[in-house]
Amino acid sequence: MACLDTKTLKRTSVFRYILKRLALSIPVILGVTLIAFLILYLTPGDPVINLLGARSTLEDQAALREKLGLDQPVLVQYGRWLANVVQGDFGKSILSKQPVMNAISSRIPFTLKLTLTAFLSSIVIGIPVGLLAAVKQNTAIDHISMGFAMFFYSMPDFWFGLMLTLLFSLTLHWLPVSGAYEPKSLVLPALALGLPKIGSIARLIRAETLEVMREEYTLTARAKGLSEWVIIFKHVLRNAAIPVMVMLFLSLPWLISGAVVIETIFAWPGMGQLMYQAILRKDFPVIQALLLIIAFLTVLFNLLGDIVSGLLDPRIRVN
Amino acid sequence: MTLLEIKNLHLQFNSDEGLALVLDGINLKVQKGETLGLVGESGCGKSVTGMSILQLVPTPPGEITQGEIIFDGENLLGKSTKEMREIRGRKIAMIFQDPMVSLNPVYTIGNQIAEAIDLHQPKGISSTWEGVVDSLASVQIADPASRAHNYPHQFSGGMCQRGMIAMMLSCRPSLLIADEPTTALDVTVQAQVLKVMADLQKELGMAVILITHNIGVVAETCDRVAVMYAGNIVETADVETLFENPQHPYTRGLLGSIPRADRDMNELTIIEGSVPNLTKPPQGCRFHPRCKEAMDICRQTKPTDLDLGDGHIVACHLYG
Repeated sequence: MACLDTKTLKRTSVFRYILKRLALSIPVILGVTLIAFLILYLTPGDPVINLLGARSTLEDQAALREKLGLDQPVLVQYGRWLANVVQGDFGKSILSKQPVMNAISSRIPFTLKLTLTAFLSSIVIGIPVGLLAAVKQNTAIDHISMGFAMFFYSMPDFWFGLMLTLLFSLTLHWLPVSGAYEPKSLVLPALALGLPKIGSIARLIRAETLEVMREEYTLTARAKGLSEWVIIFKHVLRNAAIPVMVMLFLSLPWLISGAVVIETIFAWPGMGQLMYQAILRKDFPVIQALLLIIAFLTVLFNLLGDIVSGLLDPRIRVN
Repeated sequence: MTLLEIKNLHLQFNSDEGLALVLDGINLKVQKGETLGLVGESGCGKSVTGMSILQLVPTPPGEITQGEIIFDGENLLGKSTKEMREIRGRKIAMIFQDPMVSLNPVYTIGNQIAEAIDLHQPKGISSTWEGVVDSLASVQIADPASRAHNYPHQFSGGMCQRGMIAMMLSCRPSLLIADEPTTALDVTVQAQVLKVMADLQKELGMAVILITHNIGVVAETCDRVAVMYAGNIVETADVETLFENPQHPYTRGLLGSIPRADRDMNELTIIEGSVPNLTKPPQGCRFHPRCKEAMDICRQTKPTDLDLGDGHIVACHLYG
């Protein structure tokens, strides 16, 4: 009965915390849409003249302006645009004349697959490696794993991607050079994107673990008679993981933007590649939509990071 | 009856500056049920003595090179890691100076107490949770059943220290090592925590080693006192004898430096100089460079323990 009470209590406090974080992310999202809208609005040139040509009559221009709603105040235009965006309508691509959403929707899963693989491997590999290095501090295991971590962390991802291709595709012929035609294709871009992350996570978790191992509550746990494994996994890891989790989730949007380069190198048909092409060709509606999606994902992952750290650390929930 | 006896304990630290002999042949006895005060200035080796009993001194850099720690007839220094874990928390418990950082911030107080109870399974408790609530009640936490669900940051400093005491005493150990348990607390809370400790000590028949630099606390709570200086125990006596009739020049200096309400004191004495660097300790008696009564022999030979009768032991050439 008593244990049940704890759970209910904990659940309500976590629930309240999540609601609060959710409410706080609404103004951020609104701000981002405003900026994305203004980018298009502030772009030089009159869209009506661009569409009708410089020789069109003033009457025709006025008619089209009215039809497109461009004669309305900026705020009204923003409101209409926002209403469309909420329904998934980002307008049409300048180049293909097709709805932007058609071009993007097929690409979202590819980018998510790539970034989430890199993200999960940085957790699954980075955390145990960093933890092991901390527990075996100043041994060969520590030096070797931290040497590799430093190396992966320091390499620029585009160079790293090229070197991986050179080794695994062109020399060893184990993996395809580019594209996304088979499951194996995911390996190289995910490695290029994920290895630097694994390196940084391993280094961070090692540093945090060493710090927590020096905390007095770790000494208390030892004085209680707990085994070294319980001390590390129950008392040390959870405390060491709090800053690491926050950093991990904050770095996810960074991973997505890193995907712009990696997807281009590996011809991976994700949002990053589309972004690269759209920027080169000044296809503003596409850039605008991608910007919004990336910003939305950033807010979403920040929120997830806050929730995870709130779940791990009761002190965060209170404030 | 002797519960704990430390014989000729030597402990050293390997530091960047060289080898520091932090404990230089400590001898100490603790009787069942008594409170022994371990006093001395910062860095004299009080905490290290406490931690070496439970073998909590990190190795490296720490290393016990000589000596025995006999607890309940068995030498703890011969125990395996696993055997030591059985003793920690169950037979010998320890609490630390700063209660606010001694409890894990991400688990509830109840969870942390339950962990100790589940681990050691003390007799006479019907369920873990009941044991948790009982132990919180025993340290006078109001509404213990709901307070057990609180996290350490929801407790005040004094409550945290009482929570620590509840956790460490939940398995009814026969010895508690309290390392400056009240130093981080304000004076009214200090008294409350000391009272809780004293009550539980009486109830459990437990011995306490109270490590402190607060002579006032010693006078109030201890049966016997051991005075430490630079890794040596220089004088041991029952509390009245020590305060009325201190023999070692360091003990006299220490007591003379504290204002007392029961004496007419015009001036406080000071001990000239400072604590020696333990990587290069003075030869002979480690206190001789600061001792006004130092003789030639003090500069060459380390004094041995001398029994002046009634358990009053002093390590000084003045009495040899």
